[in-house]
Amino acid sequence: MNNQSEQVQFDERVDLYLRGKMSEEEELAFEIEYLDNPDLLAQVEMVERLIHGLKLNEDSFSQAAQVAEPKARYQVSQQAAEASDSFISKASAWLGKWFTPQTAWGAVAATLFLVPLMSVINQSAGPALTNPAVQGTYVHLLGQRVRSANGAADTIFIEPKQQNLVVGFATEPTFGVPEPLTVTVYNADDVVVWQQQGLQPDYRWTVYLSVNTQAIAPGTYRYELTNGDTIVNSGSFAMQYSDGGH
Amino acid sequence: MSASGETSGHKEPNQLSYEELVNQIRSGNAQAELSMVTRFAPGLKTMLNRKCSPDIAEDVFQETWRVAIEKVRKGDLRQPDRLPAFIHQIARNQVVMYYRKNSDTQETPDDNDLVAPGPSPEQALETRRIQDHVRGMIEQLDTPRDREILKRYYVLEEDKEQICEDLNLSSQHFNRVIYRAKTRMRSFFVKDNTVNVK
Repeated sequence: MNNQSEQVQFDERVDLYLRGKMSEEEELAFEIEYLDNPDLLAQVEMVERLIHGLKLNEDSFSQAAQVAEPKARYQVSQQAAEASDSFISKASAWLGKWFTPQTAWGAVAATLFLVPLMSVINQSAGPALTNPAVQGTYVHLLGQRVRSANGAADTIFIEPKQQNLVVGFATEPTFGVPEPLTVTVYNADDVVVWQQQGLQPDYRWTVYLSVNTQAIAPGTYRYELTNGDTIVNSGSFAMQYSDGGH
Repeated sequence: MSASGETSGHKEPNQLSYEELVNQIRSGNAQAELSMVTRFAPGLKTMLNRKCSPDIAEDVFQETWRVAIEKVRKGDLRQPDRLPAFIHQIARNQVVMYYRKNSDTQETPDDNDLVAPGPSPEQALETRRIQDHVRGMIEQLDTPRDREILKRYYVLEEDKEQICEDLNLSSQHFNRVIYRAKTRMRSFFVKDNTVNVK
């Protein structure tokens, strides 16, 4: 009852600011305003953490990352994905002539295509929210030492039974609105084994990638963070089993 | 120290007008300098953390206050009513100067082998708590569609109009989902007392 009677007001500009939808002038004015406005600042910090939490829990949204793993059972090549998208969109457009809402058809089509795919993945990964392996996901931050003097690659140690790994990639801070980045991971043969687009850096200028360890086996890899054609950061890392690394 | 009481009456430092604060700093009141820093520091940290990595933000933060106090003491701030904008501008300049200064060496504090890579234990704990709370919140959402709204709006940064159109939603429904998420987040912080939300 108490909660219902207490109607909290949220400033809509906070979302615009944190989602990078403000012009530079608006952003400047907004930052100056919250410098001496504790209530507004509290809202900024709260929504900032909400967004951070949502990004950390991206797996919970059952988002399909673009996986390009040779020999993997659940490999989805880009061409196949594009073909599927194209087919779905054509089918939806055709069906949309007779039926509305189109969202329902989109859901049916998505179910038909995604459920078999998900069932294959779930054989190994299990439900994202309840699997203890996911809750204990190991986070490894790359890129902070890439330019260090010794130039040595980072080594990520994983447990053989570990199925998930979150890899953070440090990016360069920029002024203004952060651009979405693409992370591409190549194996020793320079074949793309993992790629994900549209990644936004968090407030520490780090982008996070959730990786299924079955798609990236122990070995050496190199990665690139790109913004369009520009390489923002690159480096290499090695993946080893913690009990079999020597 | 005594100037504080004489010039501001019984006002708390955070209740002083910008003019009063600036005048006291100009007259050599160290307490007023502290008040200025205390008053603007949280906002400045948030702003800097959005523009730099934590280590760089900390360096720029310190340097911003050194420059700001020096300039206010010297009377370089000609419009005291624009004190927040003045501090903000100094901070922006300091960020640019930091990168200019370090562009040739390309060395940041993160490169220091003595500094442990990754977040501090406190940051890691906080991150974990936020992650757990938001996961719980996602699980409690009414429908998968509500989850999709949050993901597309906050993670993928799509526009509200586009999301509403794609999901055949009313603006009110969209607002309700966002409002609920914020309210749950707010209650978490009120309970946790980690952010000073009212």
